[in-house]
Amino acid sequence: MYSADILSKSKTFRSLLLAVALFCFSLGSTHAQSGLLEKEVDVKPGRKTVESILAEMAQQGINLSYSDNAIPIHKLVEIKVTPRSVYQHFLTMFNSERVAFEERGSTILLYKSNQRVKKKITISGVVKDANSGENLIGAHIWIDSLKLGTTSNEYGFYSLSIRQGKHQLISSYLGYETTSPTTEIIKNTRINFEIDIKTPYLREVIISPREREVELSETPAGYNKIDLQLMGKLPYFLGEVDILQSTLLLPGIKTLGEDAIGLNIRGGNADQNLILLDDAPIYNSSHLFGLISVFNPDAVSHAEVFKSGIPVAYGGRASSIINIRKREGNNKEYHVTGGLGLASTRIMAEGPIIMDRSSFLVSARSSFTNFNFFNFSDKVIFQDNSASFHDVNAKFHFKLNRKNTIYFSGYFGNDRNRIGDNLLRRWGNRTATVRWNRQITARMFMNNTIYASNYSYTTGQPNKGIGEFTGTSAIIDYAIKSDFSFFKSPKNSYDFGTGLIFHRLNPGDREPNIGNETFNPIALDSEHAFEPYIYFSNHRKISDRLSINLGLRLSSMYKIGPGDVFVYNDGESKEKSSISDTIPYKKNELVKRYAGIEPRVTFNYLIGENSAIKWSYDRTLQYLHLISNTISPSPTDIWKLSSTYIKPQTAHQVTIGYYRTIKTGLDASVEFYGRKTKNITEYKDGADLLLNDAIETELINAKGRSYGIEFLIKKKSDRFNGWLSYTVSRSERKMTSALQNEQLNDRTYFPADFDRTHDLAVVGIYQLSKRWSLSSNFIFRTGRPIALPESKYEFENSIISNFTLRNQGRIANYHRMDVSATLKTNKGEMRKNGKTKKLDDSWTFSIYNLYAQRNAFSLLFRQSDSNPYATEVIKSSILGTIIPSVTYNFRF
Amino acid sequence: MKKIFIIMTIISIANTGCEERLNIENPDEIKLAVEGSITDELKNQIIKLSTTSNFNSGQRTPKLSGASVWIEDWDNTVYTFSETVISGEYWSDELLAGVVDNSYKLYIETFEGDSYESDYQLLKASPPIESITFKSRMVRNPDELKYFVTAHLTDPASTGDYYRWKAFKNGKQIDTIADLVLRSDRLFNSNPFNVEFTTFPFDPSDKCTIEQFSLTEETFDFFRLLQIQAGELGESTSTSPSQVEGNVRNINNPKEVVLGFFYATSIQSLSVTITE
Repeated sequence: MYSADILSKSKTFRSLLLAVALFCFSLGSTHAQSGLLEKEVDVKPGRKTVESILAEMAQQGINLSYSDNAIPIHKLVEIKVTPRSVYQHFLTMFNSERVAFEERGSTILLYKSNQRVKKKITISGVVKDANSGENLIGAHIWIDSLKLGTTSNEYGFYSLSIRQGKHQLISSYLGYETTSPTTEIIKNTRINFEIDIKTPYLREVIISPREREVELSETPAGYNKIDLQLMGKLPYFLGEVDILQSTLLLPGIKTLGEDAIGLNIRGGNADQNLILLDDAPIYNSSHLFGLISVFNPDAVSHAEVFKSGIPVAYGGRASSIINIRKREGNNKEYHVTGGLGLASTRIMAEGPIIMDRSSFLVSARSSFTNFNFFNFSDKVIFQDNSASFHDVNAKFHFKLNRKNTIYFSGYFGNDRNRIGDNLLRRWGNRTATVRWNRQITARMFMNNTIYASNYSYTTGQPNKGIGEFTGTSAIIDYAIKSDFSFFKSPKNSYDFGTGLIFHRLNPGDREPNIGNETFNPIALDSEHAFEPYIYFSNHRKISDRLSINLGLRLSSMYKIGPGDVFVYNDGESKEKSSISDTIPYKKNELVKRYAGIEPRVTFNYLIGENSAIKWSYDRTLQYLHLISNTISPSPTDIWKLSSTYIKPQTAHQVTIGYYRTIKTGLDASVEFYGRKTKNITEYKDGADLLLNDAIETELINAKGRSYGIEFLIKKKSDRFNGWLSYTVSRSERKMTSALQNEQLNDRTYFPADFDRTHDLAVVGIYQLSKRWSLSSNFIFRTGRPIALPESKYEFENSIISNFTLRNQGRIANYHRMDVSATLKTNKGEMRKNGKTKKLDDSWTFSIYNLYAQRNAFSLLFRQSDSNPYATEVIKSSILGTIIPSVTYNFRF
Repeated sequence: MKKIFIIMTIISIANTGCEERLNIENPDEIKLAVEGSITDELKNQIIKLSTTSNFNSGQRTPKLSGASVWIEDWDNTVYTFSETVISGEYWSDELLAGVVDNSYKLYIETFEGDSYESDYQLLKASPPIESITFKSRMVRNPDELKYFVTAHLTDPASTGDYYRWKAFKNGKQIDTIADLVLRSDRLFNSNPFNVEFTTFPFDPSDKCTIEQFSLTEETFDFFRLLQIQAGELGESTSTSPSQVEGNVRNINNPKEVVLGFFYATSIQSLSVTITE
């Protein structure tokens, strides 16, 4: 259903219109519109009157109906091009005249109008959820008769330039009802679509032609939208629904293991993914060491992953973009949503501040218990190790008027981890975003954003009265950006914009607590840099088959003082002992500048109606580096800016894919990718990264290459949804330095820590009845590479394993199956007379690791207890047993 | 109206290891492993020579017999060593005490004629252990009251001081490479500081001896890397394993990998008897 300029209407009326619209849609699809206006007629060139042209048309079988005094029949018109469509001729004849025309049955009706004929008019507006009033991102608007359409942008806005006339406007969104009202459009009009969430188990699935069309001809290669409705039915560990964990079920996205922080996308390191929450980057996306992500699923409206085909509006990371948008909050009704699980409790409130114009959403989540399960060494454990987390989301939006909306969004997260009496660590992300959306013209949209993001951690010692010291580190970004979209025509649109990020990094301070006489304070110089960028891209539909997107991003980084830069002796490995000089830089003095161009291109070519080939090239630059030499990054790792000795990470990627809709609801794709990355940071053996003011002495420059094939088959139907994802890939590293002590594996390529040859995920979600839904997933992954000892030797009566080459062996393959069942407690109709029942609640029963597979996380090589001269290999696993759980979710 | 009731599910996450069998082939080449030091205690200083062996073997690694071993100090004074009845164990021919601020270099000539040498190793002074205190704490599995000791000392004003401590219970060393206690003075230079031995439980009437070794930065780095290989691998917070190259090299073939280390150290020692 749609409303011109937000007419607030009752739900019943809307439902009625919806029914009518659906009826029209079914009519429309069986009796395709006659398309009289599109019919080609051959009018002889020359200067002639309107009357004679209309007569020639009539001779060629075009039924016209008009009265002579309603239209300027004596007007002289120059006909140059022929044959052309009736519509094109009308535009030539009636340009700027007060005439209207429309098809009625087999006749074209011409009559007097208040509006002058214009070649193109533009409809624009937003697509919204009918119940909550929230804008929908990536919804489709489609005019079947014109074979034209568009997709709402990431703020829910769309703009479509079309010719005047009566059009059936189809709007659709995944998981929502499709609406298709027919309306006459004679001038630039704002049309807001409000569409209803689809009630499961009630209707046939309608996949709009637009949805398929967009997927084939516009979505870039390597793009995955995360279907939150489906993911919401896929409980993971302890019944938690998790956005980042569910991306692991998609091809090309991997992780090191169950408690590993970060994702490895197409062979990229964990620090190479730009994870955005309402435009602000999240520097550590994990709670509980990677078991749960920092995103509260209740508060998220849209999540997508660009593994390639990365829009030029995004940058600053070498591997991928994960873009997460929070919900705006219901601007029509008040609701409270929540859940109680074994891992966390969640509560969220939302509602209008001013009906239909302004809303709020506030959510909070906290771990239910103190987790206590990270002890797999057999050393004597003297004290509890524990971990806990909580996070808060808030969002407000105010619609100032039809064209201007302001959003405020904030996130606050905190993790706490105690290791016995020795260490207490806290870390968390905080972000704040202010966004101003403005529709400048019908075809021009502007978004201005200011954000701040802060990731910090502190370490200290618990239970010591006056703890001995407090260590802190932080990375803070302040940014301002402006993004513009210009929808010149449905076949030609532009995106451009600019932004400036200010980075402030505090690599580490260590302050003795009051009363402590042992420790000296240590404070490393903070780092500062500006990262300005500008981008421009053009999306063009060259023909019915070929769409291209040409984008260019210019980015740079200016690292400024104060700070000291050490000078090292030439030709030697950088060591503290090879420092020959120190150059001091004053405040705001330029220390180092890097700049680069990032061209990004995508081609989509439709082969037939149901299949397409896509190609994309991405170049990406990254000026930030996570300094971490552990297998999985730690929450207390630090970030460093590119500097005199740390060059920006640069990646090139080419993707080519084939996509096919086998039949309605069954889609398949295969993608090949190859990526090369320069200036990856690797580490010297035993690198000391803690509070090191000459950290470059511990780093080695490496390059990476990765390639793979990704298969994805998706089945969507009313009762069954599922997919199969399979990746065969290889990801490797090689040290580039010629110096003896900066080499690993003889300067040959060796598998990266997260390299997995095969990666398979099968997911199925089945709606058993109105109340019960079932889901299951199965995962198989090749074991990750590890170094195997070549031999052993003795030192001080201890057995030492001698490792020579890195990552030449592998641990056992990983496989696991999870199942879950969700029971909706409402017994009767879920909706009666369009009204929702007050309480909508459900129980989810899930079993993680159904057959209790003891998957190895790692192998430990150590001295045997029984025979001190023998060695034993111990398999360690993280979640090596069956884990059942129950979660209760409610909404009222 | 639904009753909200408390969900109780036992989360049993087993993390205890189980043994795996790994088939690791015989190494292509046998490497020399050196273990030796010269201390400032007057005694027969000891150098041990052995080689690598198959990882799966349940035997001690082979010892290297028949080598000529000597140490030379900065003033070119030579101290010769001879193999004892224990194969691969070479003792200085005379009682010998290293001198603070002198440097020492190890030479080895194998029976086959290969010549090895170490870098010069500086013998650094070690500040005295001022006192040892202890306190009790409940430990788990099984629940028992155990005593843990803390050594107290003052770091000298110079920067770049490195320490290692060994713990002895009733004369028997209880620390291993996997739980070495190592410190750099980077965080507490020139201050009084405490070393807590949190992994060595004692019982009443045990005699606890703490030995303190002064190290150079190079020796400290070697022990730190060795400790990682012996005890800190295989968790997500671990680094990748690596070969720990020592400071001894083949004079004619510098590319040959030699494991182990020769270092010079000054020892301080203090004992205490645990009481309730």
